Amino acid sequence: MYNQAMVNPFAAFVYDIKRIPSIAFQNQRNGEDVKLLLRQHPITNIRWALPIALLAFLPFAAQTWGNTFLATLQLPTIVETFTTIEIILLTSTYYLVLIYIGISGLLRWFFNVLLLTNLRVIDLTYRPPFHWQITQAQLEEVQDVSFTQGGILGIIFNYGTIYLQTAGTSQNIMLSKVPQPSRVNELIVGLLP
Amino acid sequence: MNTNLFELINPANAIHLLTIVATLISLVVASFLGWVNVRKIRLLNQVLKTPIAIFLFGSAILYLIACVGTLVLGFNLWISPLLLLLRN
Repeated sequence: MYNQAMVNPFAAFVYDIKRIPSIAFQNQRNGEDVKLLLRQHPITNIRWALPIALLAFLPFAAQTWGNTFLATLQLPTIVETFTTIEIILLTSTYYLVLIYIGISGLLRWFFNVLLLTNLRVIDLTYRPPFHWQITQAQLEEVQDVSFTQGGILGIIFNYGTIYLQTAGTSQNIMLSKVPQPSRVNELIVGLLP
Repeated sequence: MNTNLFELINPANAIHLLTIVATLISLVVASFLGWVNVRKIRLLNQVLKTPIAIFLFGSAILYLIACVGTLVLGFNLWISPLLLLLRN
């Protein structure tokens, strides 16, 4: 594990013949090498990171303008009912909830991975807090590879959805918001037997 | 505690009480989810082996400790006096 040149652990698109053997996963077979690792484009993290960044300033804003706001509503006594220790506890709870949302968003992105080895395709999906799933298909079972790219953000940041259609009873594999979908499509087609 | 019904119905006190209950419920839920996070991260680190596995696991442990610590603090601040009052 990571004994060779280290791959950036937060990379969303890893295709490097020299560095890629350093990636490892559970139940990896002898002689099985990872050829491609994909995650969603890092910009997709903005949907949880931006609200959290804004909400993190809310207690400071409340401290600055809260009393004025409450005075206009004629409810100044509400704040006065809380002691200092209670306000510290409420603020801590607020930040713990924000941190949980942040950790969940990060883990959801980090463990939502598509791995392509010389033998199979493995799709690891994690939906916090409870659901996780591993789907895999042998490379021989992959019948068709396609991608779609749309939306203004998809065009600006060059991300799209990759579909791997498999034969038989194997579940089809899909990863959305993958960076450089056309290049990924070409690489996957090139790696198929 | 010499709180009578009129004091409880007072909007300021009612909001205070609701905030305390909401905070305690949030802390219990956060602690439970923190514990679930620790278990899940341990499992997922075994599936996908990354060099930051230890940091992810460490941050999950720290989060759980923070949640449980705040819950204990909240319990000591709000519930313990209530229990003492009920005993006496």
